[in-house]
Amino acid sequence: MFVQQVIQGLAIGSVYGLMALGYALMWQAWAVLDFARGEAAMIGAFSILVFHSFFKIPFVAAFPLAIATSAILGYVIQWLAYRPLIGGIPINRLIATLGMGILLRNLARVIYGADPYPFPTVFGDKPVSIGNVLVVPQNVWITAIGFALVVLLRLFLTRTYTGKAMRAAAQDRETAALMGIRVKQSMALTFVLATCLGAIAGLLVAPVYFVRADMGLSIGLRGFASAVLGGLDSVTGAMIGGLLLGVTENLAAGYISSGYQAAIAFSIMILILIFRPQGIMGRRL
Amino acid sequence: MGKVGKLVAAALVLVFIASFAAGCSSPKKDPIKIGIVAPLSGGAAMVGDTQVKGVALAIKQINAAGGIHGREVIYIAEDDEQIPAKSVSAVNKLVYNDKVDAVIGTVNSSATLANMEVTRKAGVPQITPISSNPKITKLGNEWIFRLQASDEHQARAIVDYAVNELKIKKPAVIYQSDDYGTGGKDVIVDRLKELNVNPVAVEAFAPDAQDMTGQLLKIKNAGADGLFMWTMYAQAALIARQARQIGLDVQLMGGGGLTNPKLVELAGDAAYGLLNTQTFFPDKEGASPEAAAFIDAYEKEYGMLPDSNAAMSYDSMMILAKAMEAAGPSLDKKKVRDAIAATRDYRGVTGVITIDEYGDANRDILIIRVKVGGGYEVVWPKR
Amino acid sequence: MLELKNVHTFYGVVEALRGISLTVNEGEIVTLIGANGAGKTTTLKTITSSVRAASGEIHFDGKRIDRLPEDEIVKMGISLVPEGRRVFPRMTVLENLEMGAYVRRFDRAGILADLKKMYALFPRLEERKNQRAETLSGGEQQMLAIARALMSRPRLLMLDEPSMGLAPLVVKGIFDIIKEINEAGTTVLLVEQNARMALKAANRGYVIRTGEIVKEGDAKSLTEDPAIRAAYLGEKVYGKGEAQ
Ligand SMILES: Nc1ncnc2c1ncn2[C@@H]1O[C@H](COP(=O)(O)OP(=O)(O)O)[C@@H](O)[C@H]1O
Ligand SMILES: [Mg+2]
Repeated sequence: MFVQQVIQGLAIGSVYGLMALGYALMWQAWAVLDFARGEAAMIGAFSILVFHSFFKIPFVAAFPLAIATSAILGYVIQWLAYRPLIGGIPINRLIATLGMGILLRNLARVIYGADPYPFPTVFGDKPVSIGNVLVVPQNVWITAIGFALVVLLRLFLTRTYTGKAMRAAAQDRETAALMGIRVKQSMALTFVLATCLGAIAGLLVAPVYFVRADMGLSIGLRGFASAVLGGLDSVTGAMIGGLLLGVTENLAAGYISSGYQAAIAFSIMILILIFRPQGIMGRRL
Repeated sequence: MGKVGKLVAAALVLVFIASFAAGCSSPKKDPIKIGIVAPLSGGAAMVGDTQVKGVALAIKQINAAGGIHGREVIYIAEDDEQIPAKSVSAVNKLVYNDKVDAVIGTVNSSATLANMEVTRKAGVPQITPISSNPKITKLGNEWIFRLQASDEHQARAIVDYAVNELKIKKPAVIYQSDDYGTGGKDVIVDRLKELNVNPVAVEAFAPDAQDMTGQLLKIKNAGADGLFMWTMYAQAALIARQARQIGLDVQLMGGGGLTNPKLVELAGDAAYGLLNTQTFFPDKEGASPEAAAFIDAYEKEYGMLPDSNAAMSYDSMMILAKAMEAAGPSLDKKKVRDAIAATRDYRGVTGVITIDEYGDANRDILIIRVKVGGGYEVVWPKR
Repeated sequence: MLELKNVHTFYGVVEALRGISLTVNEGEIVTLIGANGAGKTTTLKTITSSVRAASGEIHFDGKRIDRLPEDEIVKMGISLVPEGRRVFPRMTVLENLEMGAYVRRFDRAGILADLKKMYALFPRLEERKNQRAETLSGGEQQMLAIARALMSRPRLLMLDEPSMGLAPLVVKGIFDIIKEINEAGTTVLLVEQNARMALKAANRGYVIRTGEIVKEGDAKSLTEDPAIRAAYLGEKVYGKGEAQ
C-alpha cells in the first residue's frame, strides 16, 4: 500500500509542482505572492473544455489552442491589473492579486455556472497493474509532463538569452534596464509563462478533478504551499515541494488520519520551514 | 467640488427625493419579501444556484396566480459561501435590513445550524430545503423547518437496505468532514452497530478535497465489500472514479446529496449501479402529476432538469405561500409559523409532506440506483 | 561626442540637476567630481534615460538622445558601470557578462570573441566564470561590472564611483584598467568622490555641487586650484570636506 500511496502522491504532487513554478516565477520577477495563480489552472481547464468539448476540436489541436488562449488572457490580465502597480507598495500588489483571483473565479462562474464539467480522459484512466501496484496511465503522463516541463523551464531560464534576461530583470530591475533589457516586456513574459504553466496544470487535472469555476482555489493554495516549501527562488525546489506535499498528503490519509489529511501535510510543511525558513532548495535568507 | 459640481449634486439630490416621495405616495402595495440564503459562490455554488432557481420558479407561478393576499412576492438572495459566519451575516442582513417576511435556506448544514439562531431571535419563519443534519430540528428552535428527510431517516434507510437486502458484511464509510458528512456518518455507524455489523474502515476527507485516493486505498486494504459515502454529488463522482482507478470495486451507496444528473455526467460508468436514498428525482414517467408538471416548468424556464434541491426549494416556497395565505393578510410571523407547522399531507412535487412535532417533514424515502448508461431506477420500496 | 546642454532633472519636486552642461570628446577621460548628493549619479542616469530630463538636451554623436528608451542608448554605444556595481547576484559571472551583451545577443561569434577579451583583461573572471556573482569579492565584482559594461562594445564608458568601498591597492588596479580601456579607444566619463585618483587619471574634469557645475578645466589646472584642493583634495575628502 505504501508504494501505491506514493505513486498517487507523485501524480497530484507534480501538478502542485507546476502551480508552484508559477508562484516561484512570479515571486522572482514581480516580487509578489500572486494569489490569482490558481486561476491560471482554471483558465487553462476551461480553455481546453471550450475547444475540445464544446467546439469538438481534436485534443492535439485543442491543447496548443488552450495554451495560446491562456497566454493571451495572461498577458491581458497582467497588463490590466499588475503592470500599473509595478514599483508600487508591495501590499497593494498583493491585494491586487487577491482581487484578481476573486474577479476571475466569479467571472468564470457567471459565464460557465457553478457546476463542474466533466472532461474526457486523454491518456486513459483504466488502471494497469504492475506487480502489486495499480498504475493509471493518466497519472503517469501527468507526472512525466510535470517533470519534462521543469527540465524545459530550467533549460529556458539558463540557456536562452530571453530566459536569462527574465532572471536578470527579476534580480535587479534597474540594472537589467541598463543592459538594454525591456524590463516590463520581460516581466509580462514571465507572467505569461507562469500562466501557461498553471494552465497546463489545470488541463492535466481536468479529466481527473473536473473543470469548475473555483478549481483554482484549492489547487492554488497547494501550489503556494509547495512553492514556499521548496523555496520561492528555486525552480527545482518548487517541483520538489509539490511532489513532497502530494506524497505527504496521501501518506497522511493512508497512515495517520484522513480527516486531518491537509492539516497534517501543512503541519509537516511548517515543521520543515522552521528548520529551513528559506525552503528546501531556497537560498539562505 | 467646483460650483457647477455642487449645483449638479444638489439637483441630483432633489430629483432623488422627489422620485422617492412619488414612490411613497403611490397606492401600490409593498411586495412580500422572501429572503434566500444559499451558497452562490465557493464549492457548493452549484447547489445554491438550483436552490434559487427552485424558489424563483415557485414565486413566478405564485405571482402569475395573483400573488399572496393580492400582493406581489419578491425574493432577495444572499450568498453565504457555505461558511457559517457568512451565513449568519447574510441572514442578519435579510432579517434586519431587508425586513423579509420569511427565510429559505441554506444548503450546508453547519451554516443552517448557525444562521437559524438569527431567525429564532427575530421570530422569522425559516425553511431549509435540504440541510439534512439531524441536529437542526432537535435543538428546540420552533422557527426552523426542514423539507428534506433528515440524514437520520435517510442514513438508516440506506443502511437497512444494504444489510438486509444486499447482505453487506464488511462495509466501509467515507464522509466529508463537516457537520453534514459527520452527522450522516454517525447515524450510519450507529445503525450498523444496531444491526451487528462492524464497519471495517471509517474515513474522512476535507469538504474541498479533490484527491481521496489515500482514503480509498486504506478502505481497499481493509477488504471492504460496500462503501457508504456521505457527501455531495461532485465529490461522490470523484470518489467513484478514484475508487475504480485504484481497483476498489464495491457497491457504492449514499444519501440524497448524490442524486443529480451531473453525477453520471462527471463520473461516467464509474457511477453505474450506485445506490442512494432520495425524495425526488427528475423522472417524468415515474413521477406524480405534481412532479411531472414541475419538471416540465423547470426545464422550460431554465433549459435543464431540476435536481432534488431545486424541487425541495420549490416545495419550501409553495408550503410557505400556503401558510401565508392561511395566516391571513397581516402576515403575522407567529401565525405563519404555526401555519407551516400545521402542514398535513401536502402534495408537493417531492411527495406527500407532513410536518412533524420537530418541524421535520415526514415522508417516504426511496432508494434509487444509477442505471447503466445513466438515469435512475427505484429499487426500494419494491413495486 | 557627448554633450549635455542645460539639463534639468527632478525627483518629484526635488530638482537634482539645475542646468548641467558638459562635453566629453572622443578619446578623452573626463571626470565629474563632487560630494555626496551633488547630483553625479543623477547626471549619469539622465544620460542613460533611467530618469528623464525635464528640460535641456543631450546629444551623442550629434544625435539627440534624451528622448530615447534605455535600450536604444545602449545600442548607440553608451554603457554605464553603476554605482555599487550592481552585478546580478544569483547569476554566474558568465551570465552577467552575457547580460552585458544583451543588445547584441544575436552576434554569437562576436560575443565569444569579446568574452575571450574580457578574460584576458580580467583573468580572475575566467577562473570564476561559473560561480554566482554574489560569491565574488568587492574588487572582483567591480571588475565584473566593468567587463559587463564593456560587453555591449560601448564607445563611451561611464563609471559611477568605481573606487567606492575598495581597498587602495584594488582601487589602483581598477584605475589602471580604466586607463588601459581608454588607451584601447574607448572614451570614458568617470564619476568619483575620490577626486585625487580621478584627476590623476583624467584629461579634463568638471566639479558639480548641488546640481550645478561649479568648475571645469583640464585635470592639471583643477588639481592645482586652491579651492578644489581645500574642498576635495584635503584629508577630509569623502563628502565631509565640502567648503560651502
Ligand atoms: N530616487 C530619488 N528620489 C528622490 N531624490 C533622489 C533620488 N535619488 C537621488 N535623489 C536626490 O538627488 C540629489 C542628487 O543625488 P545623486 O545624483 O545620487 O548624488 P551623488 O551621486 O552625487 O551622490 C540628492 O539630493 C539626492 O538626495
Ligand atoms: Mg552617487
